[in-house]
Amino acid sequence: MRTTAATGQAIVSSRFWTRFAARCSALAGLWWILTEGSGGWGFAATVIPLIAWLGLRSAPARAHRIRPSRLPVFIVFFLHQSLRAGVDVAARTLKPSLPLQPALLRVPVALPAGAPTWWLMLIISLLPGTLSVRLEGRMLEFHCLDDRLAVERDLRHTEARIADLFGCDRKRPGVSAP
Amino acid sequence: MADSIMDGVRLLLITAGVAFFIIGSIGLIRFPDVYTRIHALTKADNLGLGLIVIGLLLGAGSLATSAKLVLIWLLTLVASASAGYLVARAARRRGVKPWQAKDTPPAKGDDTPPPQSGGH
Repeated sequence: MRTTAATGQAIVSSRFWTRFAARCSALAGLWWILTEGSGGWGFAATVIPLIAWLGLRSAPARAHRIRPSRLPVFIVFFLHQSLRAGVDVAARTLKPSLPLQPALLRVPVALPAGAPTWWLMLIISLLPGTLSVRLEGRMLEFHCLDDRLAVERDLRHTEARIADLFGCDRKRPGVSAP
Repeated sequence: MADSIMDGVRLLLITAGVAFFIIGSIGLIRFPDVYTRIHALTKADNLGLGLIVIGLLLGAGSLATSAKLVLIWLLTLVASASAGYLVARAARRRGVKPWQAKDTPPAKGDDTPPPQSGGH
């Protein structure tokens, strides 16, 4: 019993130091970008470990993490959709007839709560014709620019991409608890 | 020769980026209500800034400068998506009804169900 607890403690502690090291590297990278590699490393070396430690201590452990290996596919998806979204809205703006048929729609979110849901809400606001308006429980209310577009299909597709990115499961649409 | 082609590509990308910003601003004026205006601003500006950043990346001298440009774009994306969401949510909470095209039937997602009677 005692051995198990001790092993558990050791695992938690080693995980903490791994995450600490990862965060330090990320912050050092950020420092390098912000200073454009021009130095100030004495200051950075003092502040970075402090921030990394405080960050890990004060923020609760995240339940969902992005898998770096899935990032490239996601970035390509996002860039492609951004292009579609920008061109779509620009074309609507410039047409004299201003082709809009807006609607507020509600759909159950199939992703787990927390980071994946937040990502979905931010990303769909940058996708063609959709804008997050409100989250009530597990129901996402969003505004769409033209309900003749296949917005719900796009949204489900985006959900699948985000589930891939986080390596998490999706509930089947429509079965979310009331 | 290669330099001038590169300059041409950069010029094209940056001009296109600026054009999307201008179109986004036209959308802000032309679109009928708060929700549709957020669409115009977030999406057109996201693409516009993206094109400008790619144009600048082609001429960026160092890796650190390039990374900074990409970082700026990412932060702007997050800021514009969250700001758009917050404005839309505030409008929704105040009960701002979305504008609807005159010649269309009520949309299928209309969030105003007929009042129900017979509560207990």
